[in-house]
Amino acid sequence: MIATLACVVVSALLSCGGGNTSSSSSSSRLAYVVGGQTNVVGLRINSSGGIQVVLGSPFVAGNGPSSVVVHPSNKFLFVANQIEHTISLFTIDQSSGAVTEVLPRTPVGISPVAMTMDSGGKFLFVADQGANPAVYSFSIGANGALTAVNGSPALLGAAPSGLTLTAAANLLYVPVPNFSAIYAFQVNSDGSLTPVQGSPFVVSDGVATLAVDPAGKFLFVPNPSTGTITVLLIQSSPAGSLGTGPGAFAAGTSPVAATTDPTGAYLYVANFGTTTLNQYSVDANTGSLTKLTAAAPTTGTNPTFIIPDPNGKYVFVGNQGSSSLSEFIIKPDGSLATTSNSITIGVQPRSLAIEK
Amino acid sequence: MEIRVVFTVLKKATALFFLACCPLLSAQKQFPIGAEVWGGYSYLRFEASQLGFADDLNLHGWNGGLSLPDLYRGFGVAADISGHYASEMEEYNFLIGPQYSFELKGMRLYGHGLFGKARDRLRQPGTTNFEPSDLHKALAFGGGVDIPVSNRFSFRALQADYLITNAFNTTQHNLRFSTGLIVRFGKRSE
Repeated sequence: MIATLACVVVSALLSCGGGNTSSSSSSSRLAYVVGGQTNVVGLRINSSGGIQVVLGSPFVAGNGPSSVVVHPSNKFLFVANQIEHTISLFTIDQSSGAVTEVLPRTPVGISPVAMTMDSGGKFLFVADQGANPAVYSFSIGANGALTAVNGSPALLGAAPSGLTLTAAANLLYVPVPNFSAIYAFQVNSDGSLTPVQGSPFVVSDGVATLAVDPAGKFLFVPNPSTGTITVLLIQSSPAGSLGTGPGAFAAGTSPVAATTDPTGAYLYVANFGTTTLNQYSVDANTGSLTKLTAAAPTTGTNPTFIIPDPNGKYVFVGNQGSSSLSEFIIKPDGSLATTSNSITIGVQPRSLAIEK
Repeated sequence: MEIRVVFTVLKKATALFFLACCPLLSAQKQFPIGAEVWGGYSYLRFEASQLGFADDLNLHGWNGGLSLPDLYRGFGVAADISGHYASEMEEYNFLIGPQYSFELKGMRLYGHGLFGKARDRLRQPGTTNFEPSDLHKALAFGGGVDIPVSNRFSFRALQADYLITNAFNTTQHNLRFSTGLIVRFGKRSE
């Protein structure tokens, strides 16, 4: 009798677990932070925002990882190695979150500093700060392998500091701080880049990491020199050109990065010189910004990037000075509230990518 | 690398222990007190979500041990070792502790509290900076049911343990279920 019962219990346990494999939980997302000498830190973000460092972290990339991108399939991770001027391709183990590099690394430029990818995962764009600053385009194979696109790279006049792709992936904007200008490119169907008529577009008071609203109507430009945010209009004629918008709006000290929430109704700005974020509502018609009345949320020291969670629940800020990652929850009124899930990364974070 | 070497040595030492003990036990006609050796299949539900996994893991493997089950009025001592495996990781437990057993309707029921060490090792570590293996404290509370088959052999219908481990400085609350065959040496308990 008891033996039978035991067999039933054990059989039930075996069948419920699916043997030796584990099932992937759809309620959690993997994220990866790069920084330090070679570090790729894996994070598991659960549905309530809790952050768990992936066992085995930090994983090893090339020298000087500067930017990280997760492929939309969630199978591949790309890391730009600035000092080594290569791109590392990793495969992602969805169960454990561990990443394994696929060698050899892909050479690119002299000093790759930023990357972005279209939502379909067809092309990878890499901003390079070398002697001949440029944006490189790669097509992405089914196995994650990179192949340079014909016509790549597209040359720039000075070193870029970031890359911002519109949601439709048809326009690419590249801030160039030395010129206080923004290069604009049309993204062709083969991944090659064609300069937008009138590019580069000069912006007063400096440029930093740009943000574009999901509808592709407005470009938000942090101005580190004056502590403001300039809103530019993305025009349809010439396609992708930048027009004067509602103007510049007060931010904090040295704003360096901006992002909208997934709806585009709110804008959040990280200020390198302060430990508070700016939060605005965005006028859907004009792009005009209105500061939210809620208290400004506090970051760590020297925030350098700000990334929204793809599901629109959270915003993450990388803090260079405190080597940490701050997490904020987006409240219904669009304001941000600090969570208790912020963590220390152990190295100065330079870039964060969250799986779709 | 050093941890891997220690780990390999530990595995070999365990195997040698068994090889050394089995002939010794079989050579004895009569122990002054009863001793039992058992072994069999084991299942472990491991709280891997505490280690950044997407979900908890199902591990399968073996469980065995040596016990002196009746040193004084049903009280005895049990040494328990187990190994569990999944494609992602493996875990070994080395435990010892007090046990109490009694007979009921021809079966023997027992409960125990065990303590010792556990080793967890990631099998798919990716490209990592450190060896993903950890030796740490472990506790188990549980019991089981044994059904006598003959004077020498019994069937361990089920042993269930609530197993607490502390892998990689996080605490996991796990469940372990085992079944197997028991071989008795020495005098029978009253």
